[in-house]
Amino acid sequence: MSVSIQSQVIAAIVALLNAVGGPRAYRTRITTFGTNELPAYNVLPAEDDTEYETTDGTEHRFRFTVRNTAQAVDEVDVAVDALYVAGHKAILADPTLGGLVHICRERGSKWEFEDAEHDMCALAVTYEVEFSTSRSDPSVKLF
Amino acid sequence: MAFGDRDLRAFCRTVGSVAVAFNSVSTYSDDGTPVMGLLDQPMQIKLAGEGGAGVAAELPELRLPYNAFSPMPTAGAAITVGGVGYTVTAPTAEDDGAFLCYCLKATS
Repeated sequence: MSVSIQSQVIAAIVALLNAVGGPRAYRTRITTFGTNELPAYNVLPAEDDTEYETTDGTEHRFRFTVRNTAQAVDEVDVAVDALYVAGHKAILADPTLGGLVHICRERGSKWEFEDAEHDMCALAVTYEVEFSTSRSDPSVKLF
Repeated sequence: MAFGDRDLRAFCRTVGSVAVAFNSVSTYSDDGTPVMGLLDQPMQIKLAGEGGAGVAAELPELRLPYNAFSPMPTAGAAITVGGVGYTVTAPTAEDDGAFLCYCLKATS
């Protein structure tokens, strides 16, 4: 079965984050994390806007979220920031993701905090990629 | 009948307990043995994730008899529970005040 470009983007991001070394990157993990699994990345698809500028293609603006999550005794945002910087550098080292998309860019982020035995923090960073596919087949990339 | 030493020891013998140390001084007891505190079921905490998995964690709670230490720990005090160091949050009293409940933050 063919795989959509969207799905290939998510797979590429997970692979890039796992290549950072250290924290594990998960793909669309819905199951709750245990504290013994932190720090971790979780890559989740978000939304896709489409436009039609040619007769045979669909222009996509696809967004996905990388949740950078960690825990610490104090200043937990510092621990998360290290994840964010390492992951962001890995993702945008090649903004075309190896030619898979026209461009990849960051679109914003949001912090979340929680109090527990250790402080917990997540930084959800939204990225956007642009790519073109066949109107009739989302797995066929157009240039 | 007022809550007192006899109640404390009975409580500690019949319920699972852990050693608690505070201020590097010997803890209160009527026979020189360490006073014991009880770790309740920890509070369940979740860092919720929008559209994705959050994190499940626990906030341990410690119940201490009102007279376990003199003075009793206050917010921010360092305390050792079962050999593990914690910082305590502001205590809350239970029912008749016989026990104080502290949340524990790890120090390492």
